[in-house]
Amino acid sequence: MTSRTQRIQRIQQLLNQLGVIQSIRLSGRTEKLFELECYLRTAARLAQRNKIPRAMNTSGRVFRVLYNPGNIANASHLAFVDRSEPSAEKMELFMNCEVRGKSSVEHSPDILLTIGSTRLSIYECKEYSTPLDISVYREFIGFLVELGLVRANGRNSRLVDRVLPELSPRIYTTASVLPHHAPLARTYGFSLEGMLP
Amino acid sequence: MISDDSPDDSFYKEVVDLIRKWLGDREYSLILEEFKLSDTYFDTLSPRAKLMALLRFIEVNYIQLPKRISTIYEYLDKLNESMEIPIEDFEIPDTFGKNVSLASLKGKMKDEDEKSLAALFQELLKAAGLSKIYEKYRNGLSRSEGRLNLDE
Repeated sequence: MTSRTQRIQRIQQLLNQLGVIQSIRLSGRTEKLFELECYLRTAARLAQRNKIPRAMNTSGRVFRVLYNPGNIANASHLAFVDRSEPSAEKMELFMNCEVRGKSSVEHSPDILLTIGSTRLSIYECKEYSTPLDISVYREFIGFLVELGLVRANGRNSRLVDRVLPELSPRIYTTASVLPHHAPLARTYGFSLEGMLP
Repeated sequence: MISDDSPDDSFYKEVVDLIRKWLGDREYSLILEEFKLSDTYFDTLSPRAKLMALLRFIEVNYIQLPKRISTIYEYLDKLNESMEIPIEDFEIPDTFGKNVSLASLKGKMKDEDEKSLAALFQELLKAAGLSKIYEKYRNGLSRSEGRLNLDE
């Protein structure tokens, strides 16, 4: 048997062993799993800031992730109450919801952080296997502009930068971030967390 | 013994076909979509570049899956410590919008899946003869290297 044939057979065997994980993946939408992971990552950051989480709109004790972007009022989400000032307005962290932009057009950022009716920050989750393309950044900057969260050249002050700078807008991604795209994040005041597992 | 040298294009084509069949049409269409997002056409890539892209797709979407689920539960456990009424489970929509319990997905996995899948993937890279160059591909190529010029 040639070395080449042996290799092909070995690859076939390895793929067969991966079959179990394929059946698990195909029974769920893994991009939603990535969004959920990023959502909880953001929630954990809030909890570290002396905020007590509270589950809202759950079904029993089950947190239900929406299939399509939907109404904020109906979605399972976490609210955060300030431990030292419980009567203060609570923060809310939404996932996969629709919100109206400055132009009155509806948008669906993957994750949205609010305090009362004020939008504090947004987060996008890109589970890609190819490097992030420039169009992803353009889309994110569009979200920031529409939702009044842009900070061009540090001139505009955003509430989130004053109260929770580590919760500033960001893109979470499994993809690599090309170095020549980094100035976009600096200019428009968002963060990039790339190469996530 | 499988070495880590560089096989020829016909070998890569054969492996790409194997993986393509294994992925199935739906999964394969997802990687085509990803490439279209960056104005690149998967079908125009060289056999080796295609194989690397497919391997990266498998790594992100399959190999990392147990890690993703265990990370979600790690975050949940920490959040539940401070919640009056803890969350017991998540429901994730499947492709058709039907909810799937995350606990049921977790239950289908073995504890050792996280490490064994990572080891399996390294074996796959080795069998394909791409261990060395894959790391560079995974970390993203600089503009000067060119995203498609993976065959030097």
